[in-house]
Amino acid sequence: MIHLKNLGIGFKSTTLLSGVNLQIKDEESFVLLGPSGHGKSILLKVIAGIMPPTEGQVIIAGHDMAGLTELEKHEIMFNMGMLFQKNALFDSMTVGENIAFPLMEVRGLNEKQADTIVDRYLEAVGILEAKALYPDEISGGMQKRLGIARALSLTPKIVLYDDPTAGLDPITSRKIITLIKDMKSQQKSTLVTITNNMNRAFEMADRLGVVIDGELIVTGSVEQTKNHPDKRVQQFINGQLKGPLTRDFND
Amino acid sequence: MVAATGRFLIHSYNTSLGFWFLLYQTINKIFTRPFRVKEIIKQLHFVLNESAPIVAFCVCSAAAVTIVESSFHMKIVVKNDSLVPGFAALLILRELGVVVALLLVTSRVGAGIAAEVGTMKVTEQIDAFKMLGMDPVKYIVVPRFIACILGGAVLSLIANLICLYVAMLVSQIKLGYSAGLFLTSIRGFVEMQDLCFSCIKGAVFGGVIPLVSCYFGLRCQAGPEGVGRATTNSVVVSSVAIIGLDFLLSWVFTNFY
Repeated sequence: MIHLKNLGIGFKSTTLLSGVNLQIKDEESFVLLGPSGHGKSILLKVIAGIMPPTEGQVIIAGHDMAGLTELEKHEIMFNMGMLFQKNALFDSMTVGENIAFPLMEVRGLNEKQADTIVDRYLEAVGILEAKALYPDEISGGMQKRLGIARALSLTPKIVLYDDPTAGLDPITSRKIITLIKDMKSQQKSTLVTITNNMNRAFEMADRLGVVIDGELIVTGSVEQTKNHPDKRVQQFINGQLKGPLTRDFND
Repeated sequence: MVAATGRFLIHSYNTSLGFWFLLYQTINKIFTRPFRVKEIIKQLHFVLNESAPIVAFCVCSAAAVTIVESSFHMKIVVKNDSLVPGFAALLILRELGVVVALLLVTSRVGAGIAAEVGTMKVTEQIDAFKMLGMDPVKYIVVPRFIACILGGAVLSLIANLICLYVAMLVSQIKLGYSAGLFLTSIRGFVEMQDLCFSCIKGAVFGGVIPLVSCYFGLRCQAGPEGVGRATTNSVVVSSVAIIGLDFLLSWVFTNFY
């Protein structure tokens, strides 16, 4: 369903990603790992269609995103949902309105229909009681849940999660991952998730990939990743201070 | 020096291209559904209600200064200040009311829009709009554009009326002209089209403010510094654009007399 062919992205003279090749099947859960600042979030934004690649192709459901008109691109993006790293909640709207707004504007539902869906998703993520509050009046964990509910309320076929457990305590982070897995099995969606929490990554991944220095190393299943021969991958997943990723430290 | 000038020219060219493209997109999307009437009313409230007091206060001062200064100088040059009401009214209607009002709106509303849109960009809300299948230009720029055009026209009308009223009061107190004499005096100088042209200027300046502010907001760099820079740039560019457009429009309008 998601096919990246020889993908590259750069700004001015800096190359951020190059030679990325990846195929993600329908209903697969693919997890992206990698050191901060090495291009994971950019790769996710390229898949989402928010950022155009400077080379290569992004093929979603058989459609090359570069060859599509704005309207066709919108239709493809219509089937995608994304949880942003900073949640990207509309801070001038209440929790309920954050979900209802796209339902009414994009799906054309009336207030009553949207409200039914809002209640269903807020209940599913366990924050129905916060419906009338504003995003800055709820906790970080609740904001994540709201972001997930908003991303899923349009029942997307592909869901992209940019670090869904960042800044959360271990219990809340486990709850969020359980929620994501439950929602995936309910909606039968394809997931691409960025996380640097190894336990959560291994818990939810069918396959994994590691982005290092703008290069994507598809490491395979959890077991294959744990035993991957690349020293950079081993250093990263084991969190070792010494190794090829930390040359300055070694010196 | 040459390289810096070249970079500045290329940057200015790119900025103006981006600005014209945003204007094209905005105009294109004004007439497409959904029409966000509630949001337009909310923005209109922000432009009108919250700007009117400061505009009223500042144009009052400007009107008083105009009367006092013109009287002082006319007395020196022509030894007579009987033409002050007429000239002052003309100056107020053609220039002062609308320019002072809209420059204040720039610093208040324009800065607010740039900071709001810039923060939305930095916190990925603009990307969220795109991901949810909603066009940021349609949902963010268009309502502010319409509200500022309407608000600009109405504010310039309010500013002109307040300005004239205060000018009349100051003429009465300082120069000893009665209200009737003031009104008779300005009738010979001012025409209805002066007020209409002033409203047109208000609408045009009003349209420039959200476009420039949204342009810089949508291109905001990450961090508080980025938001600050976007806000500053938007106020500076809007103010310069208003002064430049004022000259152009004044020139065009003189052909209608």
